[in-house]
Amino acid sequence: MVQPSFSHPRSDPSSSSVSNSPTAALDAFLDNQHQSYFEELYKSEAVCLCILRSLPPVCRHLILHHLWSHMPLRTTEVKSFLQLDVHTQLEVVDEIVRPALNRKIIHPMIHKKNKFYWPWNDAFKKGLRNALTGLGASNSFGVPFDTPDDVELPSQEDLVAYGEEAFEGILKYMVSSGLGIGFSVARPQAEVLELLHISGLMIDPTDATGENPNLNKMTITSKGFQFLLEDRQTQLWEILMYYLTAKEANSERSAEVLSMFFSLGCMQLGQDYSASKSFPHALSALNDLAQYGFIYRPSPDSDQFFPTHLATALCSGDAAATKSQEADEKRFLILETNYKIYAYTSNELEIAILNLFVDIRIRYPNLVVGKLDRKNVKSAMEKGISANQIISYLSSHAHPQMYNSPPPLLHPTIVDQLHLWDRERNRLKMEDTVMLEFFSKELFEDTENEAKANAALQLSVSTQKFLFIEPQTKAAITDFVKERQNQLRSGF
Amino acid sequence: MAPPTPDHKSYPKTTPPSILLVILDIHPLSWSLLASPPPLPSVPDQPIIDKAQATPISLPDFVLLLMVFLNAHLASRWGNEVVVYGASAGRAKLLYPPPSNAIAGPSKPRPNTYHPFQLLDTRIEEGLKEMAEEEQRRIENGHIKSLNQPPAMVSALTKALCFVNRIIPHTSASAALVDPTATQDPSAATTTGPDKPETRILVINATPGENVSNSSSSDLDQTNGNGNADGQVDGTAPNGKSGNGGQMRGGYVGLMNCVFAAQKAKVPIDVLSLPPPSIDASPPIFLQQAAHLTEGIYWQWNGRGGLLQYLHALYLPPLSLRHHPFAVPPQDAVGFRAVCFCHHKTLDVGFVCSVCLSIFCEPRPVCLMCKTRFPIKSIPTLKSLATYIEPIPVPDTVPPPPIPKGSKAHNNNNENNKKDKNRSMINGGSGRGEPIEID
Repeated sequence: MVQPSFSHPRSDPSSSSVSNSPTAALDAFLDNQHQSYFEELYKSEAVCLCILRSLPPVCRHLILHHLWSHMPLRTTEVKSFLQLDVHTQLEVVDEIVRPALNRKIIHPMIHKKNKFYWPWNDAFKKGLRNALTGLGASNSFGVPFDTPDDVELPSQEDLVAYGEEAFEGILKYMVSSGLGIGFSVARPQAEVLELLHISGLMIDPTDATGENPNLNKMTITSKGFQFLLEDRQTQLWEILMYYLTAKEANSERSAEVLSMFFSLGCMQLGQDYSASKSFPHALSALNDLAQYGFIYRPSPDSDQFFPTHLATALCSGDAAATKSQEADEKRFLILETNYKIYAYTSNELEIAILNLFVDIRIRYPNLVVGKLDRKNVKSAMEKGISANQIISYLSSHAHPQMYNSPPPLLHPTIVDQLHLWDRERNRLKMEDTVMLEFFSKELFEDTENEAKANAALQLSVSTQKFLFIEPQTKAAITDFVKERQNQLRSGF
Repeated sequence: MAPPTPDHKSYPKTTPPSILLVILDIHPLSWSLLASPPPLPSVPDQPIIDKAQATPISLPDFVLLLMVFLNAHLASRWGNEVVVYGASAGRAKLLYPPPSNAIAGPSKPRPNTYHPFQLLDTRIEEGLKEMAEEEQRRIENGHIKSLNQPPAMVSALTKALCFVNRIIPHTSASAALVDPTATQDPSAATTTGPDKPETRILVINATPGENVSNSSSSDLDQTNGNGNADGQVDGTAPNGKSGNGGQMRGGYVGLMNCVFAAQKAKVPIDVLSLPPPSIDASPPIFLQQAAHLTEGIYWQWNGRGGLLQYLHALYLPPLSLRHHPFAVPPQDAVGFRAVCFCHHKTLDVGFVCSVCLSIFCEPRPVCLMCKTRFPIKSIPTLKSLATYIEPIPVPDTVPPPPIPKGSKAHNNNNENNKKDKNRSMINGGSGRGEPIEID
């Protein structure tokens, strides 16, 4: 139950990403796509580069190791490079390259002339080779805008400030809707609100069906609270994926939009790009992204746009996030073993988020003092925030001063107490189930055995002949029951 | 070394960012040799290898390949960095990254190149052109002899190690150099976090080893002054030390100091030696020693193309993946011979000053380095004793690779084996790696 120790401020984004990668939303989305979708994506070199980087290191280096060979990737070669025994089962090797198979970088294994190999996806191979040599022709890294020399460009700081303001505006709106505290928040545009509704981060409590929400009267959901506690990169990818699935629901092609996300992620902060030349097929999506602060446009209808740090950090992993100065500004929390919290911040959003689970006692211009107590933490948990989320929020915002004490970063007492409060609430575990009721004892027992064999059984009550099974196995089990029933009947 | 039951779940989920320091030998004479290589001996029993022709490779061609390799290094992880040094005749220079005060406004980004790649590539190109111009000017100013200096490997290595020390000032490695007890400090745990960057040095050697140079410059050895052991490190003094294009003659002490510094800082020195066996029958043994001592990868190109693939296959995996789970190519047997301080000869048997540990090829009554006097009577005894010493044979065999067929490493190994056998046969099968060169 004790959290793993965080040894250094710089190290914790990556150590927390072991359990929960910031691109989890993206991965889940890509896992459900088909071959043709990837063929479409891999036309862009930027996508190939970013997909390569998202693979686990061993798989990534296998791909790079073999990139310039004209042969297909043979299993014997993989085995020897990985120092595996020649007789290692093919399934084991297949499992190692599984991430690449999932991204359709290589095709499933083929057996020919006594040789087992994975053929390359030529689109990816070509794309990655072009990305490394710079010989591509898809303009996927962004066509720079022809700026006249006398025009003054916004500085990098301006862009960061702009992006920060736009995105935090949305987050603030979400928090304020839940707490009823009013800081003067501009309401985001209707498209943004609509997306927040579709994604389930906010709902209109007066609208029971969920079909005709009053966008101006929405409040935050428990999912929304969880979203607030995520780190920035996770939030960005989640929003983008909600946007993408919303597009798909409208049966629009999303591959071009997704490839635009990757292109934006490979762009340079402070450089201006031409929208019509860079993304001729995704202009409307680019306009939508402006509302979230991903890009900055000097005037709404100009062709020129600047990616902000939100966009350029999309594909930069943890590196850019930890390097940038705002990462240090995010480390403002000191937590003492007596549950007292000192937060050196004047950011309204952060204070509002803290207010979710901390009893705030004192406020100074740059310091907030509060206490973690049972009442507030449990009210936060009522809203759907879990103990783990609070812990990861606390540790990712811990002040550099806290790293000076020996690890673990958060004192075990507090971590344990948070888990205990969580347990108090979670005495019951909810699971979906399907209940079957039987009249024949024989049929009941047969079905019970069958369900046990397939790990579908949740609970059986033999006195009343009730059987509770996993919902996804319902079809299979009912088929079995019908078949068995027929057999039993014909037996008589 | 591989665990008996390989479990892919034990593979690391993330690797720390890694910094690759490349030292590129751009000595003009060496590259002119590489651009017109002699034909390779045929290998009838290895038809696949035999089919590949000897490939001439010029510096521009190779730099293109190197750029792709460096791009691949940058591509393989966020936060990876590249540092490039050029080592030309007698001088070394930082090519990339540009010094922070002299960052020229980046040219317009190209729409089809990832911006960091573009920066790297253009800067290396500019840097190499600048160095070439400097060389040109030196020759025009009459310093034609400067071309005869060996490439300034030592200078480049020193700069690279300083660079490493500067980026990671508080690592346990450098702390250990200052204070060996520092690792016991609990705060030292902070340096082992996953974000501590890994550094490694890749030396790309284009200059042939000693055999070529010895035949051409043995006469000059006589004129070499005594005792200026590491005076050649930067190669600024032109006379007396020039002329021996041999690899590490004067810089031997400097090189070894670099190697031990790198060993202590746990920075492996990988070596890619470009001159194929047809140009250079003996490997550059001191670079090979450097790779061996720092647990780097040493590999000699066979002169038959495929360099881009070799670079990716051998030198790309980061340190944390290098020995587990990935395999490293089997390393050729290493000759552990040293160079004497008096004539810069490579020795099998040497005489070491008991005070300052300098190495000499013959017993001396007065140490040339520390001026310690030794009893003159002991010299004949030492000489007679030395005749009894059997030179330690360089092992001819390389441990067999774990996989019998189909792997690149295997082919490579076969070649090495063959090369070794040839060598020992030339030497009359005496079991020694090479005969001692006597001027």
